[in-house]
Amino acid sequence: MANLVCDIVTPAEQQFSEECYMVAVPGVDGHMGFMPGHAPLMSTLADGEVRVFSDANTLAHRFACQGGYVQVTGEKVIVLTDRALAAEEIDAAEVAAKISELQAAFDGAAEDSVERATLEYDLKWYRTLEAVAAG
Amino acid sequence: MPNLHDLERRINSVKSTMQITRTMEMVAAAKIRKASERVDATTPYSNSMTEMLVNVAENAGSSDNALLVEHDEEKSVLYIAVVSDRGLAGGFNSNVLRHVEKAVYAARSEGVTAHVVACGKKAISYFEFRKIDLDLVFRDLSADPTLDEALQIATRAIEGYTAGEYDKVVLVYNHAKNAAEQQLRIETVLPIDANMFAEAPEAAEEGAEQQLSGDVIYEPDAEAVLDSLLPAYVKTTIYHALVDSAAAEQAARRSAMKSATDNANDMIETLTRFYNRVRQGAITTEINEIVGGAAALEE
Repeated sequence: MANLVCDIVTPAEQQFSEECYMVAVPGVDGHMGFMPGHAPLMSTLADGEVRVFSDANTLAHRFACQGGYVQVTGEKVIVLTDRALAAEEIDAAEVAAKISELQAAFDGAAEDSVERATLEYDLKWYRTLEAVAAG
Repeated sequence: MPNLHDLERRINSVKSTMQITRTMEMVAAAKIRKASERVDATTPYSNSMTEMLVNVAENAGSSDNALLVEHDEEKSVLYIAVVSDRGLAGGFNSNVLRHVEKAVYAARSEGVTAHVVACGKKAISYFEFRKIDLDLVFRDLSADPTLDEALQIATRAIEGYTAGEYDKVVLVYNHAKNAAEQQLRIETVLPIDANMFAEAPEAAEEGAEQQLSGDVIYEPDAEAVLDSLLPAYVKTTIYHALVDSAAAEQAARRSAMKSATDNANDMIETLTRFYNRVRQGAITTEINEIVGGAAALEE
């Protein structure tokens, strides 16, 4: 059976490219799974977890992703995301420390300032990492 | 006639300068590799992004997204000047800066307000000296541009454009054409040129096989996808420019330092020859004096 190629690309680099059986992504309107031969689709993504299955029962890779898009053709899934990190590379302790640090900075930042928006964005990312690390 | 000691000192000074330029050349050469690897790493994302945008734009039909709409009047232009934090890179900085400066004065003479965003210390000092106000400044990032920086610039540009504060956003930077050549690029970031998407498919031929055919499902719908793709596209364009400029900077510095080293070599050769002639001249004079003195005694 023809396989699906899954690419995960961030602005800084191509993070992942491998053949797989199924890919599940967090769409803005709920999770979606793609298998080979899927109809062409394009969607915006929510923050969350991209799961790559090497066969029906094996979850081969998990990635935490922040925002972005997915484009599906029959044999290829391209995930374009702002940031991505493989689940096994997440350091839970470090993430927890970062969250409390950012939260403190965020609470201290002035309303409507540029820093506040940046901090919120970072905070969301670490929250996503935390959720993905927790499984 | 200069004395020997002075000449010797000059030769030594040129030699030590040459040592510095040669080292800088080698350092820049090493950095080129890293910088161009980074350019390569960002290419898949911006290619896929453009490809998606082309697909969506075709399907979304006529969109009235604020970023696509051209403003009726051009009353205020934002220039984003991307240069380096350091000098000694030949014409790298001055090409961009001179272009932006000229554009700013031209805009002013037509009654258009010009705003400038400066990336790189050289741009900051250049514009401050000329009393051109800067909207946003970035320093210490030229060798290592970050996504955050691109995001901040993009946010500023998009907000300004949507609010009607800017009527046009222009990006000026050096493109690393190859390891030896830089090319000044002037790109209009906003409004996004919808015609570009019509031409893009031919340009991106290698991506043609991935071209979506038939009915594409959009989630939530084509317009919503387009609305969120456009700002991301602006951000990607800016980030790509920053990375590209960083690679061009190293390449420019390498060639500038190479010619500086070559010039120093030529200069040392000339000076050494002159030094030898002066020394020989002094010896000849001395012998002449001795011979003359001896002859005078004999008489």
